[in-house]
Amino acid sequence: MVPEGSPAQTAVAGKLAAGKEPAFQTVVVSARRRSIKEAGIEKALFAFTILSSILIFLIMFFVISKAIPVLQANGFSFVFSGGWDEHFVNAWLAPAGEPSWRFGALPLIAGTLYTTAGALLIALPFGLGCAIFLTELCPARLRKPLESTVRLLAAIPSVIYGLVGLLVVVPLIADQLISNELALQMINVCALDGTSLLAGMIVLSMMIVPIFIALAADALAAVPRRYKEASLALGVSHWRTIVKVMLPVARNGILAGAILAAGRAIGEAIALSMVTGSVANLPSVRHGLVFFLEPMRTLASTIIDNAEGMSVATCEAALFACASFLLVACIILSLFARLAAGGIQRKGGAAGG
Amino acid sequence: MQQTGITGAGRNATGIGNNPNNSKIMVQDISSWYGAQPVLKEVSMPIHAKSITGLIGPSGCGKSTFLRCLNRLNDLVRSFRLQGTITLDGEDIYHPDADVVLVRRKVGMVFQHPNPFPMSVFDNVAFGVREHNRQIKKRELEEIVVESLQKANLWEEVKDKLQASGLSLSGGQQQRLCIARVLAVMPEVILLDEPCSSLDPVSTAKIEELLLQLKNSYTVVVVTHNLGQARRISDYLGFFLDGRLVEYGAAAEVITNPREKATEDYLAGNFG
Amino acid sequence: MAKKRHFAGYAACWVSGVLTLLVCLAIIIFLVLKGAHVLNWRFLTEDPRPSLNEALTGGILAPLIGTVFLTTLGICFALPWALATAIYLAEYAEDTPWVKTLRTGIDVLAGVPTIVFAIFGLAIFTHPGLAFFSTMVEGVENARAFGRSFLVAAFTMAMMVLPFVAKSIEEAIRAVPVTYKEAAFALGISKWRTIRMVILPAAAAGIITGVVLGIGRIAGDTAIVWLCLGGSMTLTGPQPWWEPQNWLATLQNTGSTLTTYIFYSSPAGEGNSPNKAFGAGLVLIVIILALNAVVDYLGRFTRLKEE
Repeated sequence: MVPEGSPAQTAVAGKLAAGKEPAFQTVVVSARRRSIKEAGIEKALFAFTILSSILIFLIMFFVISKAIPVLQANGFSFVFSGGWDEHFVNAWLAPAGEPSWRFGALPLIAGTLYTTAGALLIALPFGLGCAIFLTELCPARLRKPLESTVRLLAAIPSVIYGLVGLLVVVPLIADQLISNELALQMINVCALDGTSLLAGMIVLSMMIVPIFIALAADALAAVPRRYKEASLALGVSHWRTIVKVMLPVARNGILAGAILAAGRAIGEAIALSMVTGSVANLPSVRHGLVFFLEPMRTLASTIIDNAEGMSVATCEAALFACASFLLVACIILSLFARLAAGGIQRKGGAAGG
Repeated sequence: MQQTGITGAGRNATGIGNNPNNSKIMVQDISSWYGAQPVLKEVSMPIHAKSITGLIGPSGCGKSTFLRCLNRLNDLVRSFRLQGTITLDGEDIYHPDADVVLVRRKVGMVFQHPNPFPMSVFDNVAFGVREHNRQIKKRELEEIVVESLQKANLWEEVKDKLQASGLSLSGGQQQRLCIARVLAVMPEVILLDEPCSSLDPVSTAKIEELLLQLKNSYTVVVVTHNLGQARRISDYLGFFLDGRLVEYGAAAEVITNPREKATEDYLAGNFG
Repeated sequence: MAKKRHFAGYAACWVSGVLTLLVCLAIIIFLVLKGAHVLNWRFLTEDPRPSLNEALTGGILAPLIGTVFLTTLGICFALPWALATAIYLAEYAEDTPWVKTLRTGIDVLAGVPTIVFAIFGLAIFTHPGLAFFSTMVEGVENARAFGRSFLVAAFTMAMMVLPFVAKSIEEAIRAVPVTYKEAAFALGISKWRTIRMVILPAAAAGIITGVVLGIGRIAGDTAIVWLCLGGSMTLTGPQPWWEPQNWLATLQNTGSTLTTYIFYSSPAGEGNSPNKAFGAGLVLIVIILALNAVVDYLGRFTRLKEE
């Protein structure tokens, strides 16, 4: 316990030489001191842990309390009416004495739901196929590089997805899908320049697919080998074994992956701000397929785009209202994912938001 | 390829008629490796129809690997290699043209640890049948399930809880459920890999009794760790040591009068 | 017949798998093609300059320095906190409902979008009481802090990466064989000393992996930088920033990172130098690739040790 030649040792030796019996005594004292120190360390670690988990409540408290004035002033019409851009300019220009509290976030909320749903529709089938390929079908030689690729895709910063989307996907949509006539026809509704809901869906699906692949592949890989063996030994083909045995067993993990991917999609700000046109326009189904070509904006990218409005109290509160919607949605999704997988691990490489 | 293949083969071709030695499976000179590691060395043995062949030997001797060669379940291991031939009713199961799925339908397997699917008791038994014949009528399916559960001596215990999860049964019941699941797809050969190693003595006795019934209609191969069990149930016995088949013959012969010193030592309990 | 039916499924899986590989390669090749020709020594060592002529817009020195500042500071704030949390959860916490609640809180934190962290960071650091972290705004009627600086952004980043780093360290600690701990306990070594001298060294590779993942997340994030560090392209602190008396002031002031530089220079931002944006994107992706390679290497290292 006490290292040889240490001061404690020599002290003990010295006291022994003096004819008393302090050796036992010394050990007891240091043991007590040590146990106090140990308890102190445990308390300190515990304090840090509490701080970590209290953080989410702090965030909720601050964000929502800052949003309350706007939510109170508008009530349900905050959710069910449009005109965000106009309201924002009014509030920004309002004279100091009479602030303008009128905001309507319907296009932003609907836009967030549209992009998320569209991205999931593209990403889920594709990602599931990829996860099956990765865990069950791909040649052994391809597996490692593919795993690294998925991890890298998850780690590519969102601003790079945005840049590539803006300079590849958006021009492609503008050239291939939008004719001059169509643009002229829509000129009174919105400008069609390629920055659109469709571009947002495509870029967003590319961003969430690696996360979903990683989680779905984990879930498939975690299916106990004995189920696969039992099914194969019954003479069921490999593909049917995947479809009827492995996917059902991995269902919860895959579901959790989908929910987490949805959470990521809802909260994505930068890439969408770059490719969706940054107009609080609500794409209308009445325009037929042009719906997908209209510019729009999500809750998260609104915070980025309107950040300069933060110095005006009303604008600030409105942006906090956007943030509180995002926060609540993501917390609910996280809890659902946890419920689905019984606390599945989060994976996804060194990704930025 | 779906249904006709299996029932046709399952009911008619027992293999006795066209094989004078009465052997269902012939294993000739097989050697196998996991990567560079040899597992089986030049093993040859017949497996006789409608009888129980026991495989014994110390752990790591290759008997489970041997068993998994018989239904090509070793194909799952990427580094696995095999030399030599194994024929089922005279047809090489490792032939490039052989249909591995069909082989596994004919050669069913029960595993060391009971592994029912996380589905209901009924669905566990029905799973393979539905997969092999997706147009099957509900009543037919029910008949097969009931019959299989009866054959597996499980019907009386589960008839009131067919919709309960297969995982809710006791260990011994789960293992019999796995046997019923195999019986339902009407195989010709049933492989069992230490089926009783994780069960209590009562459940073990029930399984042994079941196997003795089954040998009247099926060819059964059992890997076992338990010499008493090997004595009680097998008609033929093979003794494996270090990947070689040291001794093979009629069970009574091998047990009472082993030819090899190693077999004698093993039976005497000197190792393993 | 059955084979034919399965063929569609197999083909779909193959196509998705190969397409994933191709998308990744395409993004990287595209960045290299577009960005490689602006990459040169001057690009890396000049500060950005506002100009309508792309040729005169300078380089990415300040954003590069900003990225280094922010990742270093952010991880310095996050690591002790994450380490303490991970040690507590892995070694001290029992499996009670109360601890489960703590875990849920941390888990939910991992699902919060970075834009929400960003606006939260801005909200708390504009409080006059926290004015130390950023400079004060002058000429506004009610006193408030500016709320934007390297310190503010780094602290917000630390909150953002905390759950990921803590989780990864906790897993590394749990992967240490229990026999090590038993051996140390059997020698009469106290719990904390065992953790410090036996468990943490054994988990070192995993802890570093967590740190590298955290660095990658900070380097790749844009939202927090945009809100908490602002849109100025160059360092706004007193120059020259490398003189020790200016260090603190530099961190209390704002600047930019590679990510905001890309955002700003792209057609979406106010600048108009997409080629420079690609150049910066290439530099950023090289950094991310390098970090990923480190994680891969460490992962292999731990796996080898386990075998």
